[in-house]
Amino acid sequence: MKMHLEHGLLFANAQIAFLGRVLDCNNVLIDTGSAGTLFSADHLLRIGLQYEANDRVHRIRGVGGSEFVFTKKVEFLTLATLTLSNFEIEVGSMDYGFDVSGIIGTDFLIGVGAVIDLNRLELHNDRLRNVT
Amino acid sequence: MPTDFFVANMNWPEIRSKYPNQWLLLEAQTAHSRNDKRLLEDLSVVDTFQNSASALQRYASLHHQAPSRELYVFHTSRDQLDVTERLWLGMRLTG
Repeated sequence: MKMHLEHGLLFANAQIAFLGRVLDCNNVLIDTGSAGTLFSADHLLRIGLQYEANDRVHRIRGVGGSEFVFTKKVEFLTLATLTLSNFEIEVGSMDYGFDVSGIIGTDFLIGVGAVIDLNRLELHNDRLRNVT
Repeated sequence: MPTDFFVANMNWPEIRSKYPNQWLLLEAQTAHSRNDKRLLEDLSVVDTFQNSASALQRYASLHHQAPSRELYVFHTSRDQLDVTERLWLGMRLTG
C-alpha cells in the first residue's frame, strides 16, 4: 500500500474492527520509534469502543510529561494487505497538537513482517512480494 | 467535585471505600517506577463521573492544560492499580 509524507513523517490508512464494526483511519503514523500501537479514544468511540472498568492501563512516559492510556483487544487491525487479528492496541487522548488518529508501532509492524520501502513510499510484506 | 479536593491524599483501598462503584479522575501525588511498572502510592481525587467517556474527556482537557500532572482515570470496582510503563519520545516533524 502507498504511504504519504506529511511534515517529513510517514502516514498510511488503517482499518480497525471492534464488535463487528469497522473504523477507517485515514492518517495513522508509521512509527518504528514506538514500541506500541496507539489510537485515539475519540475516534474509536464512534464504533462503540469504550474504556471499561477492568481494561489494562499503561503510562506512556516521554519528554515533558506522561500520558495515560488503556488497552483493548480489537478484532483486527489492517493496513491494506497487512493484518493482525485479536491485536491489543493502546487507546488514549493523543493530544499532540497535530492531526493523527493513530500510531502504528513496532509491535504491529514486526507482527506482520512489514517491509517499509522508502524509495517507493510503499508498505508491504515479503510474502506478497514473492507472489507477484 | 469532592469537598476535600485539596487535602486528601489517599491510597487506592481508601479511595475505593470512599467512592464505591464510580469513575474517577485521579492525580498521582506519590508514585515510583520499577521494572516497567508505575506504582501509585498516594492519589488525590480530582472529580467523579457517571461513565468513562466523560471522565476521559475531562482527562484530555486537564492533560492539555497541565501536561506535567500525572493523571489517571480508573473505576473503583478495580481491585488493584496495575500500570505498565513504556517510553516514547514522540514525533519530530518538519515545518
